[in-house]
Amino acid sequence: MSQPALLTGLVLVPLLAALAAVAAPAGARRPIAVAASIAWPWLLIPLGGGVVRGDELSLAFGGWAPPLGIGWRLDALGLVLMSVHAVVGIAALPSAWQRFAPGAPDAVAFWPLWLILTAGINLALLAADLFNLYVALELTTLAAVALIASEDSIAALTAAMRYLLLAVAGSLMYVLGVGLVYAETGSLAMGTAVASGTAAFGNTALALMLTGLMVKAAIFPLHVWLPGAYRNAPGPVAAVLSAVVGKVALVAMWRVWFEAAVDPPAALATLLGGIGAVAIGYGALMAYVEPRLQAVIAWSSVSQFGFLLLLLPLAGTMAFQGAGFHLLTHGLAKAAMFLAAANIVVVLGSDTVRHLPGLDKRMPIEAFTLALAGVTLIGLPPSGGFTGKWMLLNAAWDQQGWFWLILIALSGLVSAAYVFRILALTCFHPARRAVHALHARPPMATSLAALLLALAAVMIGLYPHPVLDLLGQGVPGGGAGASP
Amino acid sequence: MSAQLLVDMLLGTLLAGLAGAVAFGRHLFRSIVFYVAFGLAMAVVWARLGAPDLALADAAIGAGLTGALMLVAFRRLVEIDPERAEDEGTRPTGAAAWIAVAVAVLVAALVAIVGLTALSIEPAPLPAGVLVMNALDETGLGNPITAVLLVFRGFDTLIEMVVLLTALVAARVVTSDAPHRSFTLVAEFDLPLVRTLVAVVVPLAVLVALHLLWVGADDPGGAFQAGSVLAGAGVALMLSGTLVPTARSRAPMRLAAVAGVAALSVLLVVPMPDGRPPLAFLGRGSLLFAEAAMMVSIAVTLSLLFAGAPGLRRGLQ
Amino acid sequence: MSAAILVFAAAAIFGIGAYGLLISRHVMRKLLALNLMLSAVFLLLIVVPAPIGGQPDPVPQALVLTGIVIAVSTTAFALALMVRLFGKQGHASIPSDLDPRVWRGRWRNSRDGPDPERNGAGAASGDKP
Repeated sequence: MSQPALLTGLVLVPLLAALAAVAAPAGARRPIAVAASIAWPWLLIPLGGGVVRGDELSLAFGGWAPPLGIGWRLDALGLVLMSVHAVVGIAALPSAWQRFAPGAPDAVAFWPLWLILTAGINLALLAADLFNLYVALELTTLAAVALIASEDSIAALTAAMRYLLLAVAGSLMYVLGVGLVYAETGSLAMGTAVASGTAAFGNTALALMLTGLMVKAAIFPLHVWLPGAYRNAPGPVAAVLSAVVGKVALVAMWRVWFEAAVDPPAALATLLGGIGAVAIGYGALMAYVEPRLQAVIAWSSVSQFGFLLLLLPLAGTMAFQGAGFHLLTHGLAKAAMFLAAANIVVVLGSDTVRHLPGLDKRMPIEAFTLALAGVTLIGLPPSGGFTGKWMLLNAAWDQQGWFWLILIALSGLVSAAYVFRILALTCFHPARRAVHALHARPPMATSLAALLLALAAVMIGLYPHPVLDLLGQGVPGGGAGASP
Repeated sequence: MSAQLLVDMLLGTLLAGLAGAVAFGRHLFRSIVFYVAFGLAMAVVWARLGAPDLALADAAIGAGLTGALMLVAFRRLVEIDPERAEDEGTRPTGAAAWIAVAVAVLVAALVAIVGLTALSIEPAPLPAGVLVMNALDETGLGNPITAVLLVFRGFDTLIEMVVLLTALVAARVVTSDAPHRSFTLVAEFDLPLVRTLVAVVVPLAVLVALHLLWVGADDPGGAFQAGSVLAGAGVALMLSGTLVPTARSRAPMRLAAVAGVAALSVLLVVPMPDGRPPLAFLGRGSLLFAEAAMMVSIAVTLSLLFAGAPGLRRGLQ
Repeated sequence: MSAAILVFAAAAIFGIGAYGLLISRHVMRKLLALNLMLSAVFLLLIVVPAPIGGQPDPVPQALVLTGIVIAVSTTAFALALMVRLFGKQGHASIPSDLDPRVWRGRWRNSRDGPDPERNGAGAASGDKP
C-alpha cells in the first residue's frame, strides 16, 4: 500500500470500525472494537520504517495542496506518541474487555466511543493544519468526556462536566487565535501560517492558541479539570487519558510553538518554562497529600507535564530528545499505574492509601507494577524516566541554564517524595493492619498488561538509542527556536 | 451619519443587549428565550454581511435547534425537581464577583484591541479564500462555501459529522437508564391546532430541506441547513405526538445516523488507485448523494438528541 | 457593514459571556455563556479577514459553519450530562472556580480521611467496601 493510504488508514480504520460498531447490534460491538484496536497499530510498522529512513510522510487531501486543502504529516514526534497510543490502547483492552462486557451498564456506548477516541487522537497527531487540529481535538475531548462519564458517579459526572466546560472555553480561545492567524496570513497550514506576520500581532494569536491548548493539556494553572477527571474515570480510560490524550494537546502546543511561530519571544519561553517549574512543584505537593492512590497518580501527571514545558526555553535537539523521551516513558508508566490502581480498587473496594499496607502480599503483581512505574516517574537509572531527564539536564548544561538545571535535578526529589510515600505504605509498612474482605480478583491478563507496560517503561531506558536517534532527526519545524 | 451606519450600530447594540439579557437574566427560562432571539439577530447580521449560508445555518442550528435542545433540557430538570431546576446555590459575591467583572472587562478590551488591530493590518496577498475562488471552476460548483466544505476541506466536514455522531453516542452514556417520557403538546394541552399546524409545517419543512439540498451546490444552502430544517420537522412531529421516543434503538435508525459519515468517508477520503478521491471525478451526482446522506444523518441525530432517547417510533394516535 | 462596529459588538458579547461563565454556577447558564462567547469568536472570524469580491472570505465561512455544528453537538451532550447530574445530585451546578469556599474544601479533601467526593456530597459514611 502507498504511504498516503497507510496514513489515511491510521484514522479511517478506527473511524469506520466505530461506524460499524454504532450500526451493529449491541453484542457485536465489543469484538469489532477490539479487532480494530489491535488492527490499526500494524499500519505503524511500514510507516515507522519510512520515518526512520527520513522520508517525508505527508498527504494532501484530494490532491489539493495546502493552503487550499488540508495537509497531514507523520513526523518522529507523532510516531513516538502514536506508538505509545497503540501499546497503551492494546494493554488497556483486557481491563476494558472485562469491565464493559455486553450487558454491563454503558457497554453499548463504550466501545464506539473508545474507537472514536482512537481516531481522534491519531488525527490530532497527523494534522498539519490548524483548523483540522481543532476539529480533531474537539472529537477527542468529546469522546474522552463521555468515557469519563461512563463511570456513573456524582464525582465522575462533575469531573466530566468540568472537563467539558473548560475544554470548550479553551477551544474557543484556540479558534480565535486561528482566526487571527488566517486574517493575517491567509493560510491555516502549519509552518506557513504565522511566518509572514508582524511580531506583536502574531504573538497575540500565538498566545491565544497556546492558552487554549494549555487548557486541554491541563498545564498548571489550567489543570483544574485533570485530577477529578483522571481519578474518577474507569481504569482503562484513565490509562489512555493520562498516557495520550493530555499529551496530544501538549504536542500540539509544541507544534504551534515551533512550526507556526517565526520567532517566539524569549520572555514568553521563559514564562512558560517558569509555569512548568511551578507545575512540577505544585503537582508533586498535591500528589504527596492526596488520600487516594488514583488521585496521587493523577496529580503526578500535573507535575510531570511541567517537564514537557521545559522544552520551550531549552529549545534544541537535545532538549527535544529529552522531552520526547519523557513523553514516551511517562505515558507507559502512567498507564501502567492507572491499570494497576483500577485492579486495586476492584479487589480492595477502595484505593485510599490507608488500605495499601500489605498490598505486596495480596496483590504482588500490582505492587510490583506500582514500584517499577514509580522508579520511572522519579527518574532513577536505568529506567526510561532517567534517560529523558538526563537529556534535559544535558540540554540545560549546554545552554548554561542553571535555573533549569537545578530545577530538573530537584524534581527527582519531589517525585521521589510522593512515589516513596505510596511504596512505603505498600511494601514496608510495619503495621499490616488493614484487613478487608477480598473481592473477586480481576483476570490475570489485566494485571500482566499493566506489569508489561511498567516493564517497558523501565526497559526502554536500557536501549534508548533507536528512539533517541529517531527524535534527533525530527526536531519540529526544523528551524525556528530549535537551534543546536 | 449615514442610514447604513445607523442600522449597523443598532444591530450591534441589539446583539450586545440580547447577550446581556441572556447572561444577566434572573430566570433561566427567559435567558434561553433571549438566547434564541440572539441567534436570530446573529442570522440577520450574517445576512447583512453577505453570508447567507451562515444566516441560514445560525437561524436553523444556532438559534432553532440549540434553543429547542436547551428548552427540552430545562423541561427535564423541571420534571425531576421543579423546586431546584433553576437553583444556582449561591453565586460568588464580594471580591470574587468583582474579579469576574474585572476579568470580563479586561477580555472584552483585549478582544476589541486585537480585532481592531487585525482590521488595520495589511491583508495577506493570496489568502486561501482567493485560491478557492480561482479553483472553483475545477470543482464545477457555484457556491464556494460548499466547495470548501466538501471538496477542499472535506476532511474537516467528515470529522464534524463524526463529532455530531459522537454527541449522540455520548448522550447515550448519560441517559442509558434514565426514565424518559414522551412529551407532547397535544397530550398535555390537548390543542387540536397543534396537529393541524404540524400537518402543514412538516411537509413544508421537508420541501424546504430538499430545496436547500438541491440548490446548495451553487446557491446558499447545503446539507447542514437542510438537515437542521428536517430535524426541526422531527421536533415538531415529536411535539405533536406523531413520533415518540423509545428505549430501544433499531437498526434502520442507527444506519441512518451513520450514513452521512460513511458516505463522506467513501467518496471523499478513500483514495482511488490514481490518488484522487472518488468525489473528484464522479462529479455532482456523487456530491449530491453525499449531501443527501449527510442531511439524513444530521436530521436523525439531532432529532434523537432532542428526544433524549436511543430510538423513535410512530406514536399511537 | 462597518467592520469596526461589529468588532466592538463581538468584544462586548465576549466580555458578557466571560462574566456569565465565571459567575454562574448553573451548568446551563455556563453553556449559554460559552455559546455567546463562541458567537463572538465566529463574528470576528468572518469580519476580520479581508472580504473577497465584496463578500466575506469563503474559507472562514466554511470554518464557522463547521464550528456551529460542533457547538450544537457539544451543547447537546453537555445538556444530557447536566440532566444526569441533576438527577443524581439534586442540583445542576458545579462549583465555581472563583469561589473561595471551593478552594478551602479542596484543601480539606486533600488530607487523609474518607473522601467526601467519592461518597457523594460529604456523606460521612466512611470508605469501607
